[in-house]
Amino acid sequence: MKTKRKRGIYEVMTAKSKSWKNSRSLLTNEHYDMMSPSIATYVNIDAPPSMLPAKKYCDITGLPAKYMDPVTKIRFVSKEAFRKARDLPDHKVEEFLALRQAQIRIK
Amino acid sequence: MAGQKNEKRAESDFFLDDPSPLQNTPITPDVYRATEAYTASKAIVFDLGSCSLRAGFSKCLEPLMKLPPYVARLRDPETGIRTFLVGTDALTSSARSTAKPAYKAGLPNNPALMERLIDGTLAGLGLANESQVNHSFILTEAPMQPNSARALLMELVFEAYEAPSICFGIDALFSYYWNCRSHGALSLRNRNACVLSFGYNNTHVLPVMDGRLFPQGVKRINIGGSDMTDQLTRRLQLLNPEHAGVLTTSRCELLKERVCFVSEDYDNELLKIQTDVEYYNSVTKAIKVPTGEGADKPPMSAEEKERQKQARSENGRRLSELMKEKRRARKDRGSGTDDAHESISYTEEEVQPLYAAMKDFYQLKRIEEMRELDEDGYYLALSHLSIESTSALMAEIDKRQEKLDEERAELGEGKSRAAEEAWWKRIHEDELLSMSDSELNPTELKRKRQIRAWRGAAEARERAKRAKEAEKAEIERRAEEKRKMKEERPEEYLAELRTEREQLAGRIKKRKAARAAGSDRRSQAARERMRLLAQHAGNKAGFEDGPGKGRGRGRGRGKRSRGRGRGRGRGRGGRRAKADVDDDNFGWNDADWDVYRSMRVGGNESDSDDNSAEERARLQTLREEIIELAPDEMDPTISRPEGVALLYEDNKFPDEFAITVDRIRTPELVFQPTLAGIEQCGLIEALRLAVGKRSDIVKEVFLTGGVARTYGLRERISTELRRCFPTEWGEQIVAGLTFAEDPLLDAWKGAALFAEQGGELFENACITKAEFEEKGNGYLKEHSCGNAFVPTPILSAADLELKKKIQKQASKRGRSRSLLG
Repeated sequence: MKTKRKRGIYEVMTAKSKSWKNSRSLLTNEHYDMMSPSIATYVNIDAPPSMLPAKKYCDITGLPAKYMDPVTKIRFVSKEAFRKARDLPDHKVEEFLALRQAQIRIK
Repeated sequence: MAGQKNEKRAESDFFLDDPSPLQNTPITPDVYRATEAYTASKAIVFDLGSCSLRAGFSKCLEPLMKLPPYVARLRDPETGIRTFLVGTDALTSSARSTAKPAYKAGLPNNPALMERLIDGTLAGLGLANESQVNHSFILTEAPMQPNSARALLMELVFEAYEAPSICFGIDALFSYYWNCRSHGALSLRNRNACVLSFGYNNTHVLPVMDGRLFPQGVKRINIGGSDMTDQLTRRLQLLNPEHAGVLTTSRCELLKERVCFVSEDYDNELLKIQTDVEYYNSVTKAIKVPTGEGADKPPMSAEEKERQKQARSENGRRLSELMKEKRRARKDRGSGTDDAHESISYTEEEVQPLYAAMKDFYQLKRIEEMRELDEDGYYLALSHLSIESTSALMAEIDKRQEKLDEERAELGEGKSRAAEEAWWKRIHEDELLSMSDSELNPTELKRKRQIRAWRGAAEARERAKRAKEAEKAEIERRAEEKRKMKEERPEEYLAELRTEREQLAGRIKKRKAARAAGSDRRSQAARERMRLLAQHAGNKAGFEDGPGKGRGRGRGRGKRSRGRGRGRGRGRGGRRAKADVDDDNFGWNDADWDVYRSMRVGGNESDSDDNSAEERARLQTLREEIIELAPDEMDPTISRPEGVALLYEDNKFPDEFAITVDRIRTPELVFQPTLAGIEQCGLIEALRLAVGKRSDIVKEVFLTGGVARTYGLRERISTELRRCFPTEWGEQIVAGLTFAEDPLLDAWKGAALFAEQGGELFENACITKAEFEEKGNGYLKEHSCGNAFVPTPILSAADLELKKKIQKQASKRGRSRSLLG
């Protein structure tokens, strides 16, 4: 970890790109999993899931939804919304579901 | 949508436009050297916000550079030299496809890109010619920034720029620090507060105790401004597929900032929207989208118009020259053959006098020829024409010959020859047609048939043309009549329009109902269709295997269903049935095909779908006309969906769409991350978790970050705080609720203030180069606006072994052990 070199500001512009760390390897090297859980770290400050049940909203209109279509899995509020959901092509249904990350994932 | 009476459109509420780019004020090295405020600044402040990087000298009041943290690489095609573009240039240049953010969610993970970004920013600050930076660096970082990410920045600052010292802090706390200065305090000592930071990628709850961040209470919700924009963009694109092209992320970002608001009570508001038409109308906004290229462009200047006109005429000239050349070439090729002058064209009117002259001339000529063959006939013909003698005939012939020559001369040689040839051809054809078939040899017979077909086709064409003309004239006559009626008896005219409108609307409605009934399997129409299909299938089966009797019955039934309108129907069918079994001659009659019409979904209406668009257009013009005559009349044929029913309607105008629920849904994401499918608790729950039982913290709640500008956030937060804490705090909490003056820039300003006026505090927060070399990479000095330092554990060999084992087991179990959660 000694000084790399002396350089002007524009020199680096032509330098070769260095290796690129992704966030995961960045975090692995922090050894967070070997620390006491009482220490706040970048990974454990994520807010936990809610203690309350998640409210359900219509995928089409955004209004509070009472029903779910068993075929498309779309939540809907009224018969008009249901009709709209049924009229959607499959890929559109997937996109609506993807908005709340409920699309069918193929692994 | 307000003001939809009589289809007249109201002014749109918002025009969807592109946001203006961030304003930069870069300075040159000379300016930097000459200005004392720059050179004497204690620090260069970098606010590494996820949405934009803000950088400047601490003595200034505002950052000089505001740029999106993007870096694009550019390669000069001639010299091959690689250069880099940063900020707005990176996103707008031709190299924008290579643009990458140098850090995400405040985590710089690519040292090369980060270096380039800071280089570009420093160049914009007038430091391009300095070999060494003499100012301290202040960099903002995410709460609980991993040490390795910090190490990366430290290495860069100390080794590439040789800066004297570096200081890290959390942007939201700097912002809080800036907003506390009005109390005369230049430190956060003895302060307890809960800072809510609404960032672009994340939202943080940062409890501050005794002027220091309380690390165990920090909570992060993975919803930020970018997620809101993303959700809004995707939803609007899905709901308005016709505008998907213009609904870009940057435009939706603007829409989010200008149109969306936080509702005080989300569920109640939704209920109100659902039930209260007035309220629905007040929430709905009509958004006008830019249509086409023409609408965007400014009107053309005069010279531009002139230039275009010239280019057009030039193109036309070139094309006509090309065509001429082509024609000439064809003529050259075709010279000497029979059809050399076929291309000479003439109109019917032109050649009419010539034909008359020819007719006259050849009439007499034929009589003269008859003299040799049939003397009786000759004299009879002469007397018929009241010509007295042969010499008189000769004189008349000469006269007509002269006249014919005159006509020929008038028409010109080429044309007259062509016309004459056509005339003779026609005469010969007529002769051929008049002869009976028995006199002709096979080739002639063939030719006769051909001619007859040609003539028939020509006649049909002529007939069609005439019919069309008559129709046109009829339409014109009717239009004229209507115009007259409109002027003379407007009342009557209006009544007529109304009846037509009602008829049309009724027809369209019926068709719609029929189609809907067709798609419903249990409807009458669908049953009828099924019956027909089954019958048809039954017919086929009956033909193939049934015995004689069964076959007959099957066929008979089929006939009734299929043969409607078939002229000869039963008798002929019966005869044929015996003749061959495989072919039932279905389709010989045009009416046979009607059966498919009645089988089609929703097909039992008299007219086809083809003219439905036409009818709709007509209805539209009718409505417009009626509005023109009687502007205040309500149209009974328009069913006016109101309130929430409008959500299911198509957009009324092609360049507009409505936004209702999404206005409040978008910022609601931070209160309910489950809306976006993120399994985390909302902001308020996170706040309660963060402060635990420390009521003193909640007395002061401070909001900062870009999303904090959203309208209605103050009301929502105070309502929620009142709701979730004991009543006696009520007013106290609301009184302690403060907002950043400028949620975007306060972090930078706070950091600058910290550097200039923090005095000892700042000195103690700075990590010098010597300390960096001694304490190692990632070392952090804690201060009031910064993170807590958690040194990275140095693992023994045994610990490393254990860690590897754990990871291996986890991956064996098929579950990827993601540290990111």
